[in-house]
Amino acid sequence: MKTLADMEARLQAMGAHSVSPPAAMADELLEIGEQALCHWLAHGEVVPTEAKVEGFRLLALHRQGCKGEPSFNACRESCRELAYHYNLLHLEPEHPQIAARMAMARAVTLHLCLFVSGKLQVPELGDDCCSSQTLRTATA
Amino acid sequence: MADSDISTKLVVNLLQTAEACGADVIATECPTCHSGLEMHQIRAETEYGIKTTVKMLYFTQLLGLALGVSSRKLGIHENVSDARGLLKAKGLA
Repeated sequence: MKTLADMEARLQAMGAHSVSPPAAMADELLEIGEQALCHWLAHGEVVPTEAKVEGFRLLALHRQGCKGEPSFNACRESCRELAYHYNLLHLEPEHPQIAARMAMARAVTLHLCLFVSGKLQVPELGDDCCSSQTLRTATA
Repeated sequence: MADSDISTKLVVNLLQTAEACGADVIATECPTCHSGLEMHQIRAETEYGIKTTVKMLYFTQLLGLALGVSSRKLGIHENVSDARGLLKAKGLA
């Protein structure tokens, strides 16, 4: 498994406009996203699931990563956006705005990697997010 | 790396992506997200020299503008991210 630093470097190297075919790029980004979540789970000594949610292992891993750590849910939208862009790149590779879509998919994946690496360094990251529902309810 | 450094890095990625996509404004719905974007935009420039110009507005402020409410009534002048110049250029203020 690649390190988070390697993943971040790879995403930075892709630049805003990748020359990869859209579907290949989508596959690579999804794999990077899954690996980032696997790092989070490994940190918590949890075996990453092979299950899928809504057709994506990424979403199953995210759900697994939130168990016992609601603030990790702050990356929920990043995960769902990545799944959305994966579908866009696969389903409409000839779309007139494909370059912008690829750039957005890369940025979303980078955001997910930055969040996971940040969360591993500072456990409180994401505590203030609206998505940390259990935390907010507990202090209401 | 401190919490604020990580948050600044995350926000810079958002701001630069928004600008790369041609956005003038990021619409927010949550005060925590809104102030986080504003504060870390300033911090990115003062601490790291990374300047971005995209503005932050609450989606309710954008809605008000679309309905013809004045920017002053909408409290846009009270946002840290000063969008008044942009709105003026767009004929919205």
